[in-house]
Amino acid sequence: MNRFRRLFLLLLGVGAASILIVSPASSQETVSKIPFTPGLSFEYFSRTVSWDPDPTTNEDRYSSRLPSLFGLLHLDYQIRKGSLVGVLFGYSLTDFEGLVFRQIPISVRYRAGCIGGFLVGADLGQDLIRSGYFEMKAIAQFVIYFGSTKNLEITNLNTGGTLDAKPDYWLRAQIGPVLSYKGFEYFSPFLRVTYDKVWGKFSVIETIGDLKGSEEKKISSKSIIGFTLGTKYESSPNFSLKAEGTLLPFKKGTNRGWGFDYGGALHAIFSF
Amino acid sequence: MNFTRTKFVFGSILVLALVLFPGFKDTARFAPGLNLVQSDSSNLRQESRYVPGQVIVKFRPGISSFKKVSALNIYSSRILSKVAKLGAFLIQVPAQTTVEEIVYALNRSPYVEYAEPNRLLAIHVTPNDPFFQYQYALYNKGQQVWDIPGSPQGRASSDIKAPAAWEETKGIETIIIAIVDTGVDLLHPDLKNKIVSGGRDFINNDFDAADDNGHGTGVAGIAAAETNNNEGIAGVAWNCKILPVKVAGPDGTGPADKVAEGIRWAADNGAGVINLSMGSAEPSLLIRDAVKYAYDKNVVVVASVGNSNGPVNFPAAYDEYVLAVAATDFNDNRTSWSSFGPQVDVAAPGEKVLAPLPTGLTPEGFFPYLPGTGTSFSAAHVAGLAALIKGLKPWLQVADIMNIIRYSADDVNAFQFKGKDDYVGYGRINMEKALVPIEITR
Repeated sequence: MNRFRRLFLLLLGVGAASILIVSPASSQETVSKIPFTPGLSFEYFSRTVSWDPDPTTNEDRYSSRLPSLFGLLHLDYQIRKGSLVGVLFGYSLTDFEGLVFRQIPISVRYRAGCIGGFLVGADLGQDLIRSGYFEMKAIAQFVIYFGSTKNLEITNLNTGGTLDAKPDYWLRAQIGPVLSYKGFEYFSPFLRVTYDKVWGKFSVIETIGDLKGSEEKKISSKSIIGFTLGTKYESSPNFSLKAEGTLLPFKKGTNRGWGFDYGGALHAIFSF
Repeated sequence: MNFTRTKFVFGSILVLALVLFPGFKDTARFAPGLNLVQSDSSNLRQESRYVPGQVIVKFRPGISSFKKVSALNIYSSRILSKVAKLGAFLIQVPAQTTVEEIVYALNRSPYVEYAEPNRLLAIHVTPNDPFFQYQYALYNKGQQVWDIPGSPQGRASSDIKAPAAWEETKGIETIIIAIVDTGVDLLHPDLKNKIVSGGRDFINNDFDAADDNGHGTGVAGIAAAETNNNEGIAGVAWNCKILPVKVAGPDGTGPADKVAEGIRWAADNGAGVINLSMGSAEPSLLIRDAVKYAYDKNVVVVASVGNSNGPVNFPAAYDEYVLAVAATDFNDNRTSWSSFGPQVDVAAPGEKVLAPLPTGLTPEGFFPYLPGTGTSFSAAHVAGLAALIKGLKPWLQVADIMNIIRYSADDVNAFQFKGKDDYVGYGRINMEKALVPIEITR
């Protein structure tokens, strides 16, 4: 966890430093107005995650779904023309559906629904090439979810028990190029190919009579490359709307072909 | 931006949000025109037996494509694929509804011939041992206990749920169950491949713990007979091994010093579980020391409580170190002869339980198996379960294993004595609950 916290703080630091270094006072020659673009996005993804103790086996026995719905407030800042940094804040409902804990005395399968948690993150964007109606930029986004503890009852034994379920975090990293077509008046369709991976950790503490046990489960998404198709609708210079859908293929268990994760997002962007 | 445009934009966001993300599992359920019961835990357990979010639907003959699509659209479902040549469709249900709700709704549609969850079929972990069908203790589907006229009939599910548990584990070879008893038939076709060595004979003071009584062979077979070998019966712990330790002679009795020596020897020679299907109404401090020694070496000691309908025998009564096992029958009733007392931890089937018989004691022309009755055989089931838990979770301490067995038992006499009682303790053991991950729902 410290690794991710350090990474996040580093990103925040880089963003903040960039904003200070290229503040309006020192960059009047490149930016003529305050390039502040807050936004609001809603996103959903459903990822297949694995916790296989032996990654070479790739067994279905050690995988489950990780669906998450979240809203994010984007505070993006254009540090210079074509360069953007931002921070993200939000809230997520995430379901760690189907995670199985076998290290605790009585094994359990988590099916207790979503757990709410706060999100923080960072955005980076850099224009790369423009050729005719085509434009290519690079983007990166890091989002970390910190879940709250859910206290559950274990009811199907002859002795009552509790399970304290805590999703410590999930972290999603997306990095890749975006190719946009700017030939239409209001719409700009785009294609994005990203390295897109989710890591996470979920802990449980089991107490049943005199039995006590705890277990941490580290998860990671099976899919790591995402193909996103979407469009940006710019209704005015001050407002635009972006809708996108993502498909993330991954190799299923040995000799079991391919599976697909998916996601989608809706993003409203304001420019001042 | 003027107000109209703002309204349009926010309206668009809302509409798009509803289209793209029609709902989420944890939010309120959307079921147009439906009035369905809230899923309870049993429904959720059911849900895990089919592909989440998928339903198979077959329309009546002659229904137009338009009507089919309309019927599915009502419930925001979409077609994933057509089930080849059977005229059925595999559909994806929207996230905000459950499979049960969609199945219920579609089955009420006049266009639909049937709709059902896309069920998961699993290979059955049913051993091919020919007499498995008579092992009601492991899997009771309400069959006759024995295939002879007048045989009592069991009640379905009055069993220890072995097949379901075997989906999770069948045990590992490194877990050894010591049968401290009358010895074991080392040449029995259902046991010879499961025995780690000739064992130790404390009666004749040698290393050939052959069985001259029959009792130990039966107990060993119930706990860990070779399984899925097209021979005889199935053992609770398929893959665990047997260590024969002979501490009783042909008359079925053994002195306390030999029993204590046998327990200690088993603990020192690799046993993970010790089965003691023997006992005395009188305590023996030497045997108490022996079971404590085993306990301290992290060996699970399982003992039968006795068949006298009296107080729990020793060593089963050494509550702290021993798991004391009473007997139930094919209807999950406590048997009339099973001993009782506060030391009883759990119960297991012990009435007419099919068990191996030493080949040397089997009459010509008969199979070397015999239905046995007694808490001895109940204890053997529990010893097998303890071995499976130990193999699956080798990091657990013996006290934890004992508690898992206790807490996962079914309180089969709850209608009389709710909770732990003196007759079946916490209840009849349930291998599925002890081994298979239990579903934790809201």
